[in-house]
Amino acid sequence: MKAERTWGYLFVLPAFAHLLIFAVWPIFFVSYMSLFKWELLGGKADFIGFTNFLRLTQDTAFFNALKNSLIFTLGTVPISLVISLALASIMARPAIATHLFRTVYFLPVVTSTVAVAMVFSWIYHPEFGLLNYGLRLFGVKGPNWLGDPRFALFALMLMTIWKGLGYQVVIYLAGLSTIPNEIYEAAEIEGINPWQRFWYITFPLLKPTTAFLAVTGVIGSFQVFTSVYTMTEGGPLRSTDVVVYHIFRNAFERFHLGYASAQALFLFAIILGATLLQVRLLRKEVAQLAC
Amino acid sequence: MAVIELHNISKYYGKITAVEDFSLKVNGGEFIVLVGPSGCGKTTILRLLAGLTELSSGKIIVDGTEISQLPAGQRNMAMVFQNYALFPHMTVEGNLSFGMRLRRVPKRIRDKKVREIAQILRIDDLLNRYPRELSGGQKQRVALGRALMREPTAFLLDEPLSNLDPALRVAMRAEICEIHNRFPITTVYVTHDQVEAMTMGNRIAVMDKGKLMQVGEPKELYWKPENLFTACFIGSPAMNTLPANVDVANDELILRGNGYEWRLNIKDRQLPPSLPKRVVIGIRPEHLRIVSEYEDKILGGRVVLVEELGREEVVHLKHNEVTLRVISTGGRKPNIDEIVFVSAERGTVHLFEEQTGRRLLTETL
Repeated sequence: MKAERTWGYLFVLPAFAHLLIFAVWPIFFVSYMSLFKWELLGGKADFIGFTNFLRLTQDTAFFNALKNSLIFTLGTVPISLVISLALASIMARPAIATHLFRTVYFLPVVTSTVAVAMVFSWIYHPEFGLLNYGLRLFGVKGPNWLGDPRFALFALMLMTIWKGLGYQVVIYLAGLSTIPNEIYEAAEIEGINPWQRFWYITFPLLKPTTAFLAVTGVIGSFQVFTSVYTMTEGGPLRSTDVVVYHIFRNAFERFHLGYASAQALFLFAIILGATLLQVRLLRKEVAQLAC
Repeated sequence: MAVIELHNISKYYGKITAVEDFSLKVNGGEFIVLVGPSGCGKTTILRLLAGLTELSSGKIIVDGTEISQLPAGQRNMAMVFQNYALFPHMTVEGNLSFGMRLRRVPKRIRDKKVREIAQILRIDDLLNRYPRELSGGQKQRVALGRALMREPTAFLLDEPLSNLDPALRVAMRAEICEIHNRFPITTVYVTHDQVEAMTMGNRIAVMDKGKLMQVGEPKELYWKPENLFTACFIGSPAMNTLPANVDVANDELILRGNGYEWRLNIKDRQLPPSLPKRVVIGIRPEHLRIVSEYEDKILGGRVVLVEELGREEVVHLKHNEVTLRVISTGGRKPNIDEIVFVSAERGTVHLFEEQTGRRLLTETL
């Protein structure tokens, strides 16, 4: 028994160590750093208490980043949920080439964000890009998508929705497959129409799936970084400067590690709060279905 | 009370035949049971009736109107599913009133009907519960209630009791019959359990491999099975079957098998014009009796198993290659390996053609 237990711990150890070193310890260390004026160059750190946090409340650039992240989240999560649910509903019924479509929609998910960003940088190019070429066919002169502060964030959101769709479709398909056919048949006998069928049966029974996708989607879009880093670098005029990118620049371009840590903790609090709120809002309805 | 007629209906799934050339007339207000082993097509018939499955050929007529092409929602049938198919995200009340809400029935009328049905089924204290908070029996009641919420043309029940434990099943059996007496709506009830079929049905339709084997009242199926399949399917334990050769001599039909010989008096009896050479003798375990060696026995056999049921015992005998089940009430319980002799009650022996399973005659008193 004892030997068995030792082996058990040994098997758990690598994963546990990984979690400890790359997730738990950084949280504590960031909390610690946030109390210092900690510059990467120069090597000395002065304890300054909560000064970093006080500075945060006055920092308009940081609030601009928060606003951008919020717009990004509100603009991507609900829309991609609606589109992916619609696509999943269509793909759930057996049809010609269902598997082909599933694969096609999932491909962007497994493609690296950097590669996708390269391709989209070209698509969005004002002169030679595919998007504006298409618009020209209809006589519309497309804007400089990534170079115009009015459109840059929107362009990033569009790409993010496109890239994440396949994952959400797959999760929704899994959710749809858990709804027993007899439930639909029972409703069919009562004379349900397709619209009622969706609103009275499918949508409510998919609430746990929607809850999961909403929570993970919000977390993910508050943490968006790669596309901003590779496509716009926060510009133009900070219109795509999202929180994580802002923190990254503070920490590794301006080397204000202490201040960046305070910002990271603030983001952590926001995400935690948003998640708890969603879980609370959705818990009651999700619990009803747990049978 | 709707009359339902099924005319030569068939259903094929690719090359697989689920139902073939099935015809049946269900009288208004009748409680008819479709019974047969799993895969015999009984559930398919129910689904065809409900409109959940499309017919391959044939016609379904309700009260003189053909409904074969009508979508399920317009057939006004109520169905109870084997695993209840309650809406998990709605309370009992929500489940009951669902159809009425779809049809935009005013809340006042809806609530009244829900209360009425809930009282009949004694689920009025469960109205605010969700399906996951109900026991199997309660779920069953809610499913029945949902079907009762409107006045349907017909009630379709698909093995509604198969997920309940035996005691509850017997209780619900009686309850469904009571409900049917109270609301005499034409009912088609599907089950694989012949006891359920016998106890509940006004008439029973026995099915095998997509075909109708026999329709009739329970007594008719028991005493005059038209074929070997029905004979063996109805009754528990199942009918004994013994292969035999036939000879006619004077007024007697002589049946000879391996180590046994029976003589049936056929004086004044109408025999089929040509008797086949090979037949199967069918006799129910409850019509056999264990007798002493000196009585009018038909054969003897070695006891291989005795199943004690309290009121009676089922004695399994082996005689050459045939096994016989005998229900023995009272008397001495035979020992394993003992040789015992049996005789048959008069008027209980059935003869079937070996090749087709068709009934040749039942020796009646």
